[in-house]
Amino acid sequence: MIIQGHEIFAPLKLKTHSVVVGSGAGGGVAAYHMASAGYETVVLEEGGYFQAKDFNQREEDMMPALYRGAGRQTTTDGMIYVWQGSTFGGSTVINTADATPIDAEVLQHWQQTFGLNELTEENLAASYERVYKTLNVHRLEERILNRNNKVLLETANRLGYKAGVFNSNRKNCVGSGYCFQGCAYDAKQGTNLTYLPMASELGARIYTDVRVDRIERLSGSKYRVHGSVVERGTRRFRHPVEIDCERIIMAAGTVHTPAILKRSGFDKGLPQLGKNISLQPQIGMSAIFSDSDKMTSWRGAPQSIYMSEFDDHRAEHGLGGFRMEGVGGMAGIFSHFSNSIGHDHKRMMQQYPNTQFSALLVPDQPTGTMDWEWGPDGKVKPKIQYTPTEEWKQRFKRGFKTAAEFLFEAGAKEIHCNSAVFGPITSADQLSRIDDFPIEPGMVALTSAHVQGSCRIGLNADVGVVDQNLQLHNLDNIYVVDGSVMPTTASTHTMIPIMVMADRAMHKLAHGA
Amino acid sequence: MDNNKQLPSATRRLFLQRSLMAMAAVAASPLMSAQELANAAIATPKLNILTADDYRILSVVSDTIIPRGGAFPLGALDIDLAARIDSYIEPEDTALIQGVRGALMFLEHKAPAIQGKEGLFSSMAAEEREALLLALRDAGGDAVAVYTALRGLCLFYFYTDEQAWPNIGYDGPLVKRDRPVYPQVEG
Repeated sequence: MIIQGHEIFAPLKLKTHSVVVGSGAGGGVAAYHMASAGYETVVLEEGGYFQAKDFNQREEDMMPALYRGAGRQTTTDGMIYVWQGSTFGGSTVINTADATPIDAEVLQHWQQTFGLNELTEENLAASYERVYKTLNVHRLEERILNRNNKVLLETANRLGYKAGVFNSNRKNCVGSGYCFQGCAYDAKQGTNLTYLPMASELGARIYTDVRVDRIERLSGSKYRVHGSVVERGTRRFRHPVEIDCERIIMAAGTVHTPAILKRSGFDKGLPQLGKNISLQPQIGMSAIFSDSDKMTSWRGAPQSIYMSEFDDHRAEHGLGGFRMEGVGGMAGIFSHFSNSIGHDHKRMMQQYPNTQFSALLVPDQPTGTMDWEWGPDGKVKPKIQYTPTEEWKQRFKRGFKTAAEFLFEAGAKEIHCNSAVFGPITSADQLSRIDDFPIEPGMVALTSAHVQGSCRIGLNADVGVVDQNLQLHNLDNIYVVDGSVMPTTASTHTMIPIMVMADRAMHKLAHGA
Repeated sequence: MDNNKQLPSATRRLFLQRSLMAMAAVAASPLMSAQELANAAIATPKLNILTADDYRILSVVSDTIIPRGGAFPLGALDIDLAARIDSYIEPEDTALIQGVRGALMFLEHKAPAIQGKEGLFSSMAAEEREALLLALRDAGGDAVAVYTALRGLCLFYFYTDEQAWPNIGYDGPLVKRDRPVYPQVEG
C-alpha cells in the first residue's frame, strides 16, 4: 500500500516491526526483503509519489519535483553539485540506468585495506543474480545508442583505446533521452517499478511525503521513529509522526543517513560517522563538431558508452585514473558549458545539434566530511565539506587534457566545459592552458552523482560505522543500506553496488543466514 | 504549443498575458534597448517573489546575457525571462531569494565602480553592460560568483523555454504535459 502525505489528515502513530527510511536503491531492496520474510514493514520516503504520467521531460519542472534541493544541493563551498533523488524510488528514478558492478579491484582494496573479507565476488554472486534479474539488467540495445555516445566508441576503436557499451536496467526503452527527468514510459526499472511495488504487494506500507527527523531509543532494542508529514514541494511540516518498531533500516542516502543518526544522538561511539565521503566529482564537457555532424545528444540513451582506457583501478587504492562517458538530455544545464554571454553564447547554442556532450569522471579518495544544522524552517541542512586533494587536481588536469585531445581526434572544432571563467579550447596546441585550469569555488561547477561514504563499513567502531552485515556497531537492530556504507567509491555508477550490498545484508537478515 | 490545450485555464490566461506582453514590447519597438526598458515605466507583471525593482534589474541583466538578434532573433526580453524566473522561485527558498537579490543589488549599485563607471548597471549601454559582466568574470572572488549565478539562472530558464528551442535545433519533449501536480491539503 502506498499512502501519500496529502492523504494523512491527523498525527500518525504506528507500531510495526521494521521501518525503512528511504525508498531508493537500498531502501527498496530492504523493504522487499523485510516484507518477503513476513515482517510488518513501513517505508518512509520524504519525497513525493510521482509516476510516469507526471514526468514531463522538462528540467525546470522535474528537478524540483525529483531531486534533493531541486538539484541545487552543493558542497559548502558551492563548487560541487551533489545530485540525489528525493522522491518515491530515490535516485533510481533520476539516474541514467547504467548498471555497473563493484569493480574487482575495489573489493580487493576493501579486503586488503579494511579487512572486509566477507565482501568477495563469490559472496556477492547470489545478490548480483537476484538484483540483475529483478532489474532486467542487460547490455544496452544498439537501436537506442546515439551519435553523441557512439562517437566515443568509434574514436576509441580507431585509437585502440578501451571502451564499451553499458549494461542497463531498462525494459522496452523507446530512447526518448530524458532519463534525468524520470522515465515517462516506465522503461527504467528503478525501485519505483520493481522492489517497492513488490514490497507493497507483500504487505509493506509505503508512506511518501514523510520525513524522518530523529530516532529515539526505547527500552531494550526497540526504537521510536519521530518524523513529519510534509507538504509536497515546500516540505513544510503538516503532522507529527511516531512509529514504534524493533528494527530500523536507514537508506536516506550518504548525506541524510548520518544526519539523522547524529540528530538522534547515535554518533556517540561512532567516530567515523559523517566522515570518509567520496564524491567522485565529474565535469561536463561539450565539443562542437562540424554543422553536418549531428550529435542530437538529447535523443537515445543519454549515457550509454564509456571510454575506459585511462582507468587505473588497483587493489592499492581502488578506483583511480579517469574516464569519459557520453551524456545528454539537459539543454538547460548544458547551456552553462562555456564562459561566454551575449552573442558569442548564442552562436554556441545555435550549434546544439552538432555539439557532443561528455562527462569526465575522476574517482577520488574518501576525504570529505558531513555535518548538518537544523534550519529555522525545521529542515535539516546538510553541510558537505569537501576539498579536492592536490593529487586529484593533477589527475583531473591530466584527464581534461586527455579528454580534450581525444575529442579533437574525434573531429571536434571547439571544446568547452562547465566553468564560467575558462574559455574554449580551439585546437590541440592550446591544451597547455589546462595546466592553469581553476579548480576553485566559483570558477568551476563540478557534479557528483555518486556520493558515498559517511557511514562506511569497518571491522569495528574505531574504523567504521557499520559491520559487514551493515548493522551499526554501537546499536542493535539499526542497519544502513545506502551508498553511505561504501568504504571507498565502489564503481563509476553506484545503483547496482548499493543494491547488491543491501541485498546481501537484507537477504541474510530476512533468512537468518 | 500543443500542451496549452491541457493547461488549466488560469495558467492559459497567464501564458497569454505574458505572450501578449512580449508581443506588445516587440511591436512597440523591435529595437527597444534594455536601457529604455529600464527607464520606461513598463507594466510589471504579477510577481511571486521578485520586487518590481528586482524584476526591472533582472530584465536588463537577462537582456545582456541573452540579447536579441545575432545568431537568432529571440532574446530574453521576448519571453519575459525575468518573469519566468520569478515564477519558478519558491517562497521557501530563502537562500536562493537572498542570493539573487544580493547579486542584483551588487550588480546594479556596486559593480559599475569596478570599471570606473558612475551610475547604475541598468542605465548603461548594452556594450558597457556586457563588458562589465565580463569584467566581473575575470575579476575573481565574489564578482565571479555574481557573474556565474546570474548567468546560470538566465541561461537555464531561457533554454528550458519552448520558445528558445527552435532557435537551437532542439525539438523538445516527446510528451506535452504541464508541471506535475503537487496535491496539497490544509492543515
